[in-house]
Amino acid sequence: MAGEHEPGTSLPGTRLHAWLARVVSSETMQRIVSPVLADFQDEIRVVDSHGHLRLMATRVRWMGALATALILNFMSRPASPGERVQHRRLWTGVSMACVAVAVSQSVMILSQSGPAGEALSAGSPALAIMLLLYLLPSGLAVGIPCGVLLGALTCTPAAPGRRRPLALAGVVGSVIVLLLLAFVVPPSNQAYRVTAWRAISAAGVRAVPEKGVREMSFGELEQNAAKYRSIDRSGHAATYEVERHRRLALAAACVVLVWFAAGLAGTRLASSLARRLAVTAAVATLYVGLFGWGSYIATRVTVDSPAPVWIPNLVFLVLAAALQIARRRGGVPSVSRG
Amino acid sequence: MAKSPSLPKLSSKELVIFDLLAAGRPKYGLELVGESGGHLKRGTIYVTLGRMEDKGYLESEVEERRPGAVGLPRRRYRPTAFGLRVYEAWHLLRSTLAWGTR
Repeated sequence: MAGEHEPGTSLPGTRLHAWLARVVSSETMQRIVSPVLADFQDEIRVVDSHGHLRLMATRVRWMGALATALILNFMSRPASPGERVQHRRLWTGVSMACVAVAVSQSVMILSQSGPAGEALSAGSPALAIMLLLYLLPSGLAVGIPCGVLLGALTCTPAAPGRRRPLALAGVVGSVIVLLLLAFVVPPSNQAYRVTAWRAISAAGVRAVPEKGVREMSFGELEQNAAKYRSIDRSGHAATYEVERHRRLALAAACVVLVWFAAGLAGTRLASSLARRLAVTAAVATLYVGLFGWGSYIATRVTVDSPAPVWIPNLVFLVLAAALQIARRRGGVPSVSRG
Repeated sequence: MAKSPSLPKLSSKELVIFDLLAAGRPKYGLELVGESGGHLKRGTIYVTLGRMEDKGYLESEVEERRPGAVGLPRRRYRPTAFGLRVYEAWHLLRSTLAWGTR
């Protein structure tokens, strides 16, 4: 049987349990969260008695993260078969588009001429795979809002009970994108640059470059912005401020785009897969265009304010509000769906 | 025509859980995963067990803890009388159909 853990110390999962108790319903706590975490903690006790605690604790933390994702998914578990179909459509759309956009964007960057192209011509297929893996997180940061948009377009959020999975998809998407942009993308981008440039310098070309704004963490961006602000070079400081706001705005895009898609879902524009894909591509292109334009304005024109970065979110927020108002007044033509 | 009430159904996962629970003592979620030989997964077992409780096939109880014990109390699952009847009926149906096809 399990070994005894030292009294007074808390086992992994205790804080997660306390946090989830505030977020999820008591039924979900009783049915899912508590049994999952209690069983994980028992595993910890068993390996603790065998001296493999560190390895097991890491594994349990990963399982805890996975369990959290499953619990969040379970929270939006639909009650009726019709809602189950909606739910499946939503998550299939999300995952399909996330992966597709992330991979295609990564492959596109990789195939472009420049450091990556040079590195590839000098390197092996293993190097190409490694570079692709380093690019995937930044691809996912763009792919997730697209995925959430496509997934939301597949739902018909007419009944109030069907809005919960949509809202949850938007919030979960935003949180994941923010975590990716804060903790995964910067080191991954830097690793990509270092690997690519090392492959080139191995062929006697150039040395590894220093970090750019896309490779900096939120803390490093803040430090650099403060440094340039203190020596009154607001143009330089704006570059770092804008990058910080770009990341926050991109994370917020999931919620905005879900609301926008909820207004379009069930209409003729979203009545077939081809139309939904076309709408997703059009919205993504428009959003990226506005995003680039907003970043340019914020960096070059309104250097004291990074507000223009938020323009695409504001535009789609206004469009979403207009669609919702039109839907309530019966102005948006809907189609019946099975 | 009025819709007749649907018969209780058992999915393949629910059947595996019944196979493991029907004969023995009450078991924990991870115990079932371990004993299923790969048929049950950690990621889905608790949702399946919760669904079976909703259907009235299973009941669960929280284990009693000794004073000073660290960690959360575990939950044990056992079949209800209704669940066992459904399981037996399912077995009977399966064996009858198997006999009919011989």
